[in-house]
Amino acid sequence: MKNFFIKKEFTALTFLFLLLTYSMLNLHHTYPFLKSLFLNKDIASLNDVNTLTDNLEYAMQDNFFQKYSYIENYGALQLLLEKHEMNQFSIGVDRDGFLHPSNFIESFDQKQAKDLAKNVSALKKKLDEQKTELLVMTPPDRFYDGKINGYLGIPYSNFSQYIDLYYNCLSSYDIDSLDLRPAFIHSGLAKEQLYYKTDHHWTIRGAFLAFQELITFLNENYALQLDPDGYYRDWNHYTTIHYPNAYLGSYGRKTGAVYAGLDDFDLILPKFNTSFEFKRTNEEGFITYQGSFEDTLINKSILTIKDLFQQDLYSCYLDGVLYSYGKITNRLNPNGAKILLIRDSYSSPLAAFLSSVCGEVDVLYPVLFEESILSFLSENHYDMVILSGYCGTLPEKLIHF
Amino acid sequence: MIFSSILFLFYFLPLVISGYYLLCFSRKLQNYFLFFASIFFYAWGNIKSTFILLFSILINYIFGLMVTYCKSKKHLLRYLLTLMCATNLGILFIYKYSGFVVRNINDFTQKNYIVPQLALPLGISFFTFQAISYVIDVSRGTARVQKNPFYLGLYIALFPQLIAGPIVKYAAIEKQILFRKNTLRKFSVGCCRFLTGLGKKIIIANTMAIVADKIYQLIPLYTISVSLAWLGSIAYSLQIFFDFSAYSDMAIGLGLIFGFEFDENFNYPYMSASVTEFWRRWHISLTTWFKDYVYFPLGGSRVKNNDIMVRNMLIVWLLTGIWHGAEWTFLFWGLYHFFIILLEKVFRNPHKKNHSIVNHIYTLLMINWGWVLFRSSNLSIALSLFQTMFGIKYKGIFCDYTILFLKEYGIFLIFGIIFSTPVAKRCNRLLVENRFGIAGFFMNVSYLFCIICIFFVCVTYLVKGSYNPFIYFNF
Repeated sequence: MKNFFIKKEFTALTFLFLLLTYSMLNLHHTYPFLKSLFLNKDIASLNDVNTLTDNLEYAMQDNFFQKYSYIENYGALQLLLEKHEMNQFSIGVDRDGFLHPSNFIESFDQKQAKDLAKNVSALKKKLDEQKTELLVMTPPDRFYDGKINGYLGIPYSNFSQYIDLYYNCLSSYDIDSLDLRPAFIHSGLAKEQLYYKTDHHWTIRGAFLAFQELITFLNENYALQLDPDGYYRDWNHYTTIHYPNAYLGSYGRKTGAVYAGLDDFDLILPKFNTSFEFKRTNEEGFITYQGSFEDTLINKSILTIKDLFQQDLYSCYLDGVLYSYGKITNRLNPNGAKILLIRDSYSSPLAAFLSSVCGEVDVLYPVLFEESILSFLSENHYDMVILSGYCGTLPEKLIHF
Repeated sequence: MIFSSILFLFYFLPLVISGYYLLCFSRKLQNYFLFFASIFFYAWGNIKSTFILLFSILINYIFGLMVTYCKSKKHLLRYLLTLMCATNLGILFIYKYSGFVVRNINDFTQKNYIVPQLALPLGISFFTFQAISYVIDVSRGTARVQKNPFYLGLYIALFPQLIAGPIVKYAAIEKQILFRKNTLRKFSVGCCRFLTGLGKKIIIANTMAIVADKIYQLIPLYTISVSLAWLGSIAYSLQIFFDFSAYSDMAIGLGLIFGFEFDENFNYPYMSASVTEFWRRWHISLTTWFKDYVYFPLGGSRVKNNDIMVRNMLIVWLLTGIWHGAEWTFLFWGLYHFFIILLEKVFRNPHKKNHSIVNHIYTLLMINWGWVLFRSSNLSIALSLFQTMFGIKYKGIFCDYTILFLKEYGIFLIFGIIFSTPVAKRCNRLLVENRFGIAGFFMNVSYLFCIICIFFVCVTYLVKGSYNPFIYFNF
């Protein structure tokens, strides 16, 4: 009986020691965040108190001491248990190591597709008044070829299947669309070359393929004559800087590198001469970069971040997407086409490549753009407007016109 | 605030333990400290509900005093007790049941009365019942009136058992408020109990919740397979047991850390050989409350004829069902248990304990089907699931999803089934009796390692932000 209590006493004292130690470490680590929340609090009602406590609790959770070690531990546990799904089935891994979003319930139907297409038709109507062309381009996901090497039963989300439904509805409003799936299927490139395993984005190579296909389509269907001799679409005119095992994508940051592994990251840069000005919005107003493609359109500081959970290598192109508006001016092609890309993060590298063949490429992120896009278009004239949104966000109806 | 959260584990609990033991020179200060810590604990979740808690403490404090002074005046005492019950149950009704009642009146009468949209204060069912039990016990003379409102507040609002029980009787806690002992042994047993509960909650209950919730999400939208329906119901049976019993373990453990001894709330209910026995092992504090304050005052079983006994049972089971939630499914769940227990009373010999495998399977099936009613958000979903389970409306016997859930969560299911049995308790007893020999020594030594590992695994899951529902919070 004595042993029964001795072991409990040792356990309790060990627990108490660990609890107090970790508690002090946590408090020390989160104190600046908690202090900032307290100092910036604005309490006018009891609901504000609840908001403050929610924010404090979130800060404590989000800034837990050594948080990412625990995420890695969690991933290691899941590997040990041979689990192929994570986060309550929101992420599933396939046999090739790709992480996919997953959902038991289909989330995009005919009615939603019709509503979305009707929404886009409002944009087309506005652009028709200005005699500006509109093209909808919906980047597919890893299901672009209709198949993945999955585990039995895991409900991997196939967002690419929504593209057909969406495009059918768009065609009823006479809206042009570009389906990238055939180009991806016939490219001769493996899925691993076109999509990251740990991120929801296509690779920079995949974005370049989309750029090639887009220019070909625009030249065949519109009178823009972009890159007529194919120089800028020639893969041999670009150089690749290879970063092996360097990238932990958005899915990977939820599961940890131990579970998900790491992706290689290829930075694709033009070998030819370039000169750009890139001006984009930020918290203070605008920030401007000038110089070559590499100096202007690539945020090299992101490439130097060592912490896998803090770096998002994909967003080194065009500073990612978290700003409302940006303008890329190609100083070597001042009379080139003027294109507006209403976009999401998928189009960041694509817009960078596109700027080589245009005079001006404007990028607009509708989620953060506070003005009315139709009013914006009244004041700004373009040769072409491209509406580009990843197929996975179709059910979210992020774009409103 | 919930026990299985970073905030509670690494901020609130260490501060409260430190503050409590730093004040060890004064029991009075310790009690005041615990009271204010408990109010802070409650207010963190929803500050508006704190006023209801404080009002409940105040009004029942006043009722306690009034009842003491009117003990000799039977008519006045009866009037006061009626007023006390009406006040407490009135508050409970307004916040918990008024919306349900108005919605149903609108449905039946085709009118459009405004449905009250009041947020349910956390734990209102628990602290209301505790408050009622205090005043009634004072009126019966089984407990002395508490003249210090903070001490009464400590009894009603003590954070270990405030949100989800166990429902503690005042008489059980009365002496402990001032005369409890804080010993290393109690503290140690409390810590270990708390950690065991934390492990049960995070590792088993939460994972079973994922399985149950995903399957129940599918039911209104698709016809599912028979095996998937059964898997969903079994997963929920394990989820609710581990969720609730884990909370009780944590509550009892935390109580011991601060020197309080609460009664057990669960006694391996899935080992029962009858539904009657199940209710002696499940949520013991609630069944005790209904027995002491509803069933016995109505006459219980010792009545002139069986009709009155059946009536008494029906009232208790209707109230038990309604206590759990404002929805028809809970009412039917209560009625379901009433019918089964009544049939058992009629057809079984209560003095003969028959623990045959058939009886255990029968009991598990009955309880499992009851949980289907309990979990379903409405009768239509319950009916749909029953139809699938019994092969009336289904899409195949097996399906990919069943295999998926078994592959991904099978190990948790197995642990859940194993630890629903008293295997750990038996192991402990054998260790104490030194039955394992040298292996027992290693088992004792590895105990610390195992418990601390469980703690780290739980922290990993919490930091990761894993699924962490607390279903008894709805009550």
